[in-house]
Amino acid sequence: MNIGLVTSYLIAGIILLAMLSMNMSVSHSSNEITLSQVTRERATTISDMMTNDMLKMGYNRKSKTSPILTTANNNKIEFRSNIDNSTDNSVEIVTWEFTSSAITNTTNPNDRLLLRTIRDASTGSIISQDSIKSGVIKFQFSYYNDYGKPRSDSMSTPVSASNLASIKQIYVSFKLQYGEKIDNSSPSRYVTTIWEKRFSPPNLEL
Amino acid sequence: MVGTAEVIETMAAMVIFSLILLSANRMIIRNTNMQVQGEVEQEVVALAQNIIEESRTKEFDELSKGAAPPAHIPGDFTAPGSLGPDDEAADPDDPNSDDDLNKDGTYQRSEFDDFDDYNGWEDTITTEHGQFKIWAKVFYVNTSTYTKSSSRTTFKKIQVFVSSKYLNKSSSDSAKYHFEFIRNYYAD
Repeated sequence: MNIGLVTSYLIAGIILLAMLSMNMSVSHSSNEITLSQVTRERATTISDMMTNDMLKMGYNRKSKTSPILTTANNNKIEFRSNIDNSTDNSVEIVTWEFTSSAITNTTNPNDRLLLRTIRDASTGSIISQDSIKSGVIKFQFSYYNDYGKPRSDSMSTPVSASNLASIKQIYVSFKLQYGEKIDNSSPSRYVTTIWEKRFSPPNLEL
Repeated sequence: MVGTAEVIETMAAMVIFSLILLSANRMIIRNTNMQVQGEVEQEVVALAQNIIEESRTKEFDELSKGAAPPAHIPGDFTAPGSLGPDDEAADPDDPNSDDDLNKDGTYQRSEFDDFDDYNGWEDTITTEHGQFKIWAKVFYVNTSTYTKSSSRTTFKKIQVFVSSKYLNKSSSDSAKYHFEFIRNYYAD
């Protein structure tokens, strides 16, 4: 029996297994990067839409809308704004709501429907509605009646109608997960991204 | 010895494979670091934007808060060396010019009432992505070059700096992210 030959076959086998394992690791890492990039792009889309709406809160061409905020809950915000900057100064009601409706076309059991609705303030009719099914698993609003307060020092929700006018800052935080699992590990692991920002809409400043 | 050639070939293969493995591991670690960095940088941008947006909601200057603008612009604005939270001597005509509203000896962000009150402000903010150190500077800038001016002008610049222990230039040196916004008195 040729010991040298056997040893070399044994080592070659180990090397082959290691190569296989390395290949799987690289492939897994690359897969995770792609998925996290996709998830982050989705988060950026939502944050861009949110930023666009938030900063226009209470806006109209000649003066602020009155009232500005009409609903301030931890999963829903509703405010008035001339969001399309229409020359007839017509005001729209903008609503962002994180619903309890599950997204059914993904394997992720945690994602739910996020709704952005624009309604005509005078008639109440829906102008547009965006059903965001990008894998949002958490979406939260917090409200502050002063600038720079610690995150835990938010107003209690739902903010009562009499306190809506005292809101100065709005903190938005959402968590997104990709619709499919990264691997078959248990418990299931999904690529996750978190976005958060505290808005200071200029029209809320007294 | 029989099989020596095979052993040497195998050993050579092991060396080559080890080098490839090291390189692949480095790539995976670098990719993971970049993923984390991208996520944390999002937070850095949001934090800095928050401070800049907040500062924009305030008056341009402590002395432009009144119903009427100052008589001399920019000569009546706060002196460049006095930019920052104001005490009661900041505006002799205004008994409420002291920014320390609760008289606790410190100036809180919630007490700021004009753009330059953010000068020298610093804080540590806790977020979902950990703790971030954030601080700001405000100064007058030249109206044409937008560089720091030692005299009063109608332009002020806010610089916001953010750092995090998860964003490092090297193992001992944390990266400092720098954001700027220039505000014009007449554009308010």
